[in-house]
Amino acid sequence: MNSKYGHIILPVRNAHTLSVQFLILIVLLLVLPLLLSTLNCSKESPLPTYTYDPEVNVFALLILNNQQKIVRVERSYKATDYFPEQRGITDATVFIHDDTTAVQFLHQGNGIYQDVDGRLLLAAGKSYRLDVTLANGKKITAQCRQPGRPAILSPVNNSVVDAFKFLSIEWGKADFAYRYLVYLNDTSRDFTVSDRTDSTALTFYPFLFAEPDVYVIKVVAAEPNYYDYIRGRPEDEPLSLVSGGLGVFGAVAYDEIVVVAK
Amino acid sequence: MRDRPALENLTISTLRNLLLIILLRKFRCILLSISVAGSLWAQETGVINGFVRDADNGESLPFVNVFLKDTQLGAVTNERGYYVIPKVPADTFTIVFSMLGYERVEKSLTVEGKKTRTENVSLKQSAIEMAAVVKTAERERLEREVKTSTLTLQSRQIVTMPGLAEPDLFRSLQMLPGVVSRNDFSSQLYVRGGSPDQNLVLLDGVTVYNPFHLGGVFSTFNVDAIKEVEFMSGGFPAEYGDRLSSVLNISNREGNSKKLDGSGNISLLSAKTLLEGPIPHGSYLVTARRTYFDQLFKGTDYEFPYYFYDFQGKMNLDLSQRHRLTLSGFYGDDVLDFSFTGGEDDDFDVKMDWVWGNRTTSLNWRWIIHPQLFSEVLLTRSRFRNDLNLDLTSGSTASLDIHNGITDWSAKGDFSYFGIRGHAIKFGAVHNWLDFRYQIGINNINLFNYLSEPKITSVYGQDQWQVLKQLSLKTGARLDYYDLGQRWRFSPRVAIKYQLYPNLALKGSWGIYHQYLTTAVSDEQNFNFIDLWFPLTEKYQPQSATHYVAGVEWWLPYELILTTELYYKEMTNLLDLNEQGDFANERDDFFIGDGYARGAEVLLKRSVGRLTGWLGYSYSLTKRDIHHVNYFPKQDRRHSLNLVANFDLGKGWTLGALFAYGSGTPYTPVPGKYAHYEWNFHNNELSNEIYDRKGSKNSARYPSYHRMDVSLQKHWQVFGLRSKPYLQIVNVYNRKNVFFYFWNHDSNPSELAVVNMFPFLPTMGLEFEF
Repeated sequence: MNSKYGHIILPVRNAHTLSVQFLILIVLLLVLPLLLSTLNCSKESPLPTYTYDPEVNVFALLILNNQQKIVRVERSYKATDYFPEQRGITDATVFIHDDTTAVQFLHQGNGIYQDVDGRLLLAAGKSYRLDVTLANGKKITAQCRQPGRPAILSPVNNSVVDAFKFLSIEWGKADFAYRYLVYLNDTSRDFTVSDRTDSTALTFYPFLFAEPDVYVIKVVAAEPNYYDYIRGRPEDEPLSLVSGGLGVFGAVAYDEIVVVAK
Repeated sequence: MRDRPALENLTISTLRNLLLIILLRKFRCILLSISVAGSLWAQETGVINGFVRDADNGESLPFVNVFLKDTQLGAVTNERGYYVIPKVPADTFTIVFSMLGYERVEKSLTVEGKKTRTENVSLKQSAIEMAAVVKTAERERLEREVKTSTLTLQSRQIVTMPGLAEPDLFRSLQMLPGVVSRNDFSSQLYVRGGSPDQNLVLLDGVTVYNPFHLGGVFSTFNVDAIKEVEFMSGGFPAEYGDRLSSVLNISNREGNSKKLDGSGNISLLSAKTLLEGPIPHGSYLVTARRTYFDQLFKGTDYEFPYYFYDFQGKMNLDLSQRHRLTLSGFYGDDVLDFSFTGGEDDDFDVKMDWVWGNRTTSLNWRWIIHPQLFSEVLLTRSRFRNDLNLDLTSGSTASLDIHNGITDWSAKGDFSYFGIRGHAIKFGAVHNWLDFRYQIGINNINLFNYLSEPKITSVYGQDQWQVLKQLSLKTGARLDYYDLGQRWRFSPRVAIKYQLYPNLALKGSWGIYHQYLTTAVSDEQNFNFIDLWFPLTEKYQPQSATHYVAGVEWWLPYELILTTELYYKEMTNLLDLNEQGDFANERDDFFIGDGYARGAEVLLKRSVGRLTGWLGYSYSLTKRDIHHVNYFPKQDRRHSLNLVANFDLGKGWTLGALFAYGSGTPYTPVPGKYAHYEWNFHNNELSNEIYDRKGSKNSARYPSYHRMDVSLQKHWQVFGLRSKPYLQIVNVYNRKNVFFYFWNHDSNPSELAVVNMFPFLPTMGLEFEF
């Protein structure tokens, strides 16, 4: 038959050849699916199993503003295991050193360790070293440098801004800051958005100020560890910023203002 | 040919004598050729040229054998159906035009010295008894050309293959050895370990940048308009550049220059139509396709927010025997348009309008400058655009606009010279003006604006030289200049073919390839909706690859051809998107690294007869070393077996079957989980969320993949129209092929879930011609 596809048909030269070809096709179309079905090819493949050795997961953050130090030590789990609420490592030895002092953080429950006496003094520009030693002797270490506090220059605290408009925020450069995280919280609708920048200014989009409301703006100066930890995508690959485990040891300092959008 | 003695019976002296005899015979042949050429040179000679077309529809016929009876003089028509026989002695001859599937034509003609005799011929299609000397166009092409890793598909081979709702070009190509499909939802091509952005896709010479609909599920090409597809999976010649892995050269039909013709098709996916016919001194062809589910459900509670359409047109105009203009265009868009109301009190509205698609336009001027100098000048514009508008209304409206796209203007000239017997010389130049734009704005205020306008200039030359009767050599080179970074790149290419026996040829090729564009794609992505193209900036070296290919081509009885190839491909300066890149640090947008791919492919193919199709097997291994991580990329499939069969049952019935098997592709396992903490500065407390703890990159393998599709078609005459209803079934035995695994951490303990690919899926449609 001729069609626009240029279909070519040759006369049958050999009936035996044709029946062989047809037989091949019948085998393919009838026997093969039947065979594959009987071999359970239509069933779900068994799910894979994996081996995994749990790791130590450390979150340690120094906040200059109120001399706050948060240290949490826990473990990761095999994917198929139950993930308990009480998963902290309770018998680790945790120290944070500055250049003159080594302060032990004591376990308070569920993997949280605290500087009970407040002996560790945070100061801008100072370097700190975290040492975590597990009962089995495994060590996790990390270092960071405390940035100073930024100072928000614009808008002024408790000022009134226009709703439905862009809002530009400017601040003074903080000592020893690597980059900045900026948080905007809508107090009544209780949502928080954040952004990152390496400059000292940022503009928030108008739909964030679509409702007349009270907004709290925080500008956080971060050192490289905590900044990289925040900007990383944990769903892809957890950024390991401590040696010997997962997690981060970082330091921040912030300034905050309140603005009223009308 | 007398039998060669068995090797084990030969002594060293006998071998030496045999070698001497062979060399002496060759030397005598060479001397004889020189003397004949000399005597011919002394005579006055003329040239015979012309075009060969299909008598039914006027389409040009490539690879038609044209020869002068009782002489050694002849030629084969090129892709445009043009042939030239130079240096023909002044005399009267019988010229013969011959190709399988067409009636042989013989004509008497007289050649005068220093003159050109033009003989245009139309061949009638016919079911003829095949004589041993009549060859298919495919065999003629394979014997004449010195190309490795090249396969040609005709439209009829694509339309009869079982497909997803309707025939699809890219899904057909995924069934070839050396081409990997990562999953059923994507028709993108991973060729010999390369990524999809390393494939040059040409539609009538125009580069198409995102040739997909529905995020890669379907290709944008309407197979009804396609005349021929040439797919080069490696070792492609110097006339092609700016890609590392493959070239897909799609030629649309020219349109029926004899009579008005048309067809329509309605399937579960789309409705399409084609119209072609003559115009004074030329022809035209237009096709249009659109999905219709959005129209079906319009006004109901289940509105379907998505549709795509495409439109192709082509017009040819013969200004004279030597000048032809061809204007062609492709326009296609995907449209996603929906709105919804959300929030606890239905207090916000979301409206999204998203349009993405291709626009290509080309003007081709074919000029036969001299009977032995054939030229084509091509002016093209290709644009891919992606426009998203998102309105969020809650009191007032915030409107987000994202526009990005690539525009490619090019001017290209290709020249083919046939004046030296035994040489087919081709040379040319191309200049590309590229425009990349990415813009983001809110409420008409521009927040982000990226603009880059690089240029690429290339010149190339190549010569296919018939060194000896059995030995052909194709050498060429390409020189590129890329203005971002002022990069000059030289790309030599060599291919060789030795006809060991009349039915057996050895082939090989080597070449260097460069690429100056890339897409923002990470190997981690399971699904890529749109390719975002970027030019390489000054800080990145052009990506490059070196191909080594060696193979055998063997023509067997029953019109079977068996080809085997070994390949090795080295790639350097490969880029992989850094999804954790810091926008403030330009240096980490992409990771740079190297890779390689090696493999072996076997293809047994039959293109004529009642049973057609192919059986292909490939073994391949591909690896990457990027950012100090050595891993198998997701397209690394160790074994692939593909069977495609179409059987003409007679009385208008055609049965098709497709079986694909592939060993498992790599993925990154998730053996663990952990809590990711963040300090909440608003509440002054620690918050956490459970995340996957991934293992080594791509260190695990999915289960093997296999699937069988079948199709049944019947040609009928209904109310005077030729119609063809068809039924297709995808995944006949409902194999649950794994797409990906994911952990559901909402339950405790977490549960591993699997997303499968296509289930058992029957579709049907109706095609008709008028």
